[in-house]
Amino acid sequence: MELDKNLIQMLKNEEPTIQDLRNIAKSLGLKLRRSMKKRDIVKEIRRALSQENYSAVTSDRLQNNKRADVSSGRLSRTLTKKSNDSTELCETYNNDRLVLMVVNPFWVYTYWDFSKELSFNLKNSPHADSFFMRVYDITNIIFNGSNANRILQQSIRILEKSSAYFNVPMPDADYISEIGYYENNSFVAVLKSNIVHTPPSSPRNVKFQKWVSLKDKTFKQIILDENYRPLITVIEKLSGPENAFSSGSAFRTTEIFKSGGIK
Amino acid sequence: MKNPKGYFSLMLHAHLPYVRHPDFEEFLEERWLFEAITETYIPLIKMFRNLERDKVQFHLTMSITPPLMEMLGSEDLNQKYSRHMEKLIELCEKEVVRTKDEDLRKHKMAKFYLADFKETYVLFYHDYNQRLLDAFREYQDKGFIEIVTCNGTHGFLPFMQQYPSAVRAQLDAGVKTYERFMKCSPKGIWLAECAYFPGAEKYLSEYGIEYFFTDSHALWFADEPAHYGVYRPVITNEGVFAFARDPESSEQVWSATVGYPGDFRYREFYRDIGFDREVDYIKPYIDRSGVRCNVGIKYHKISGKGVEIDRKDYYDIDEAKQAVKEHAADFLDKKIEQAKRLYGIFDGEVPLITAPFDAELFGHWWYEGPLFLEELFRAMSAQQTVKPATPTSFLEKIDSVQVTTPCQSTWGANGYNEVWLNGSNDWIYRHLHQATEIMVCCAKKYEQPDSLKRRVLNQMARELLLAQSSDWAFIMTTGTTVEYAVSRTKNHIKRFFDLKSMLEADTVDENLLKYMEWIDKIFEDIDFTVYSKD
Repeated sequence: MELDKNLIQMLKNEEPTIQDLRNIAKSLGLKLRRSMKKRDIVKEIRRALSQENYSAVTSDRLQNNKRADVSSGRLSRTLTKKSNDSTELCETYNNDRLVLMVVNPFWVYTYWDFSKELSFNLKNSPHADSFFMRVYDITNIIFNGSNANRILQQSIRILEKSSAYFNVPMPDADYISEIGYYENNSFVAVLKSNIVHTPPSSPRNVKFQKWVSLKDKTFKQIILDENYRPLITVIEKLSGPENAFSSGSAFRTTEIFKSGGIK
Repeated sequence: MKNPKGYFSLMLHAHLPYVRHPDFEEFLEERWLFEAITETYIPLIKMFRNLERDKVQFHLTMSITPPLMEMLGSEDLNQKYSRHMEKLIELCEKEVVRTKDEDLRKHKMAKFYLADFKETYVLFYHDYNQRLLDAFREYQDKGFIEIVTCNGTHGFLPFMQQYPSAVRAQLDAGVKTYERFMKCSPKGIWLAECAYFPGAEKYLSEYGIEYFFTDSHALWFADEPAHYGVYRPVITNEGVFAFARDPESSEQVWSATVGYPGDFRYREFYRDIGFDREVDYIKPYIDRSGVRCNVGIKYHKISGKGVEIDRKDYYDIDEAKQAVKEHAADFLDKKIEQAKRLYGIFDGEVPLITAPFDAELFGHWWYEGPLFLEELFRAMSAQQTVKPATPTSFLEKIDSVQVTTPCQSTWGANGYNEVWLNGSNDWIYRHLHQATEIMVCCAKKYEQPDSLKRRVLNQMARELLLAQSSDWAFIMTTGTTVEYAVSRTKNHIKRFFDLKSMLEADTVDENLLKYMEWIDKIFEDIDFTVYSKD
């Protein structure tokens, strides 16, 4: 009973919560009483899995799902549901690719992937232990590889990892990243990313405003006084430990989601 | 009649991800739709009817997203909903008998629910013949509400901006689906998660969209900050208007400390007979697996701050209605005060207060929410200072508008992208981007496919769009029903690549294709060639 072994091992290793166990039982189609304790549920699950005919149906799928599910301490509900048959997605598409994405004004996310050829070369390269991720601030310039406003760099184990988050110094700025290594004291880029623009986190100071008439579609530009302020002074959120993870409508939606109901 | 000092633009964003499992007689997550129909969509329709009957002038905007339109228009889901309601009514009849011997307050509510569910069923089944969208269209055609669309599958557009055709495919599905169900073209759009990126307006204008909504800071931090803040729309260089969220309105409604839904007299969400009744009795009405879930019959009120869940007092609908009246009056007072204040600052220009909310919060989460809205519109019609408006009606009232480009923003926690990009969900993007590139590539390669290949390509587009729903990333962040969201993401990606393999190997398994067309049957008028244009 390989399936049974896997499951028991998982239960031992992961210390699933009672909710995890309820989910497992659910995905096996078991009926539980609300009053059942953890060990009762485990017993039920074992009993169900020891039934030869059931495990025969599920073992293949479990094998497929094993890694992801064990790591999260859960069995997928897809065990018993055909239209949700879940298969692990591939880990690499064998493409040379470095992608930069914006998280917020101060953070970017990057992921990378290598072709078989590049991956082989990198593994066998004398620089295999010393790769770097670079993030260039290229705001307001056309980047030619050597004219960045700022260069930020971190050593990174690109062969063991495939993504990372980086703190960037300026909101409202353009960034591009590169993976590379040093040879004879100069940086050699292996992959280059797309350009991203981080959002601003504060109001801009501007010298003019444009207006359009909705009646005759004429434009008007107004030169602003240096003391100009918009009519509304906004009360912005002051961040600190009290509210580090709360704000706005999504927070409240999150609260609602926690109820287990609809979004 | 005096001219109003301000306008109030309520925007209800009605959305659920596409959850439809025709290969199962019952599916737990399909209950999301059923709960939303019973607790939000039908109560809103009832509100429209009541206000119209009493000749109350009301105006509001609603987005009904394409996946929600598809689900509300789906025959099999509507049949399932009818069965669901029949069972709920059966349960409620048992409750009416049973509660006679329990507590009078429970018995009163059981009778209330029975009448309410029956009315809901009649409205759904008889009045609108299982086509609820007809009701919303009717109230749009009558000029009370304005329905806007949303991008295709509620995909998070800022993460598609490097692929113009992916953005277009989302908009294309949004516009076509709207036209198919609403029989006219959408004027406005709710960008999923209120997620705007500079440049999005170019695509919106290509699709004839006249306006969209943003969060507040989109205008505060705009290229040229908005002179009137969020209280007047701005126009982008592409000629598309942007209306930004008023932070005060949402704070007043939802704040944990001063918000209305936490009033002790309101219904407690977390006490439901799906959990409270003994298993043998409730079994036929909860999930088939025996897993308990909410059934929608609740006998308790919030009762007090910090009152433990098992010590809640019984709920009384009449007491709650009293609270609704007080809260509607209070909210209107605040809007009047706000409008007068802004009108003063604006030197005679009339402010517009835009208040967007998730529609499902009214009714599903805050049970009395639709009653609150009804009372609000009644109270609003009895005074002249603040009047209801839609974006379109407001634009007809103003002469000039500031030109600027809003900043990249969302309505998620902290205002940017972190809800949809963090350690719990970042793994999805490499797959979504890869699939997008392949979709573009295939669309360009197969210019004149035969009809079978065309079906494969169209189904690839559907799978990609479904995988892009921002709901999956959102659920992974919030940590409930994560398995479902993970499995949906993987399944759509997997089906996408299976289809691609069929296409490339030139051996289309028509049965498999049919199967996918059946279980992921969204956007019947999809046209994959949208991906071939840069």
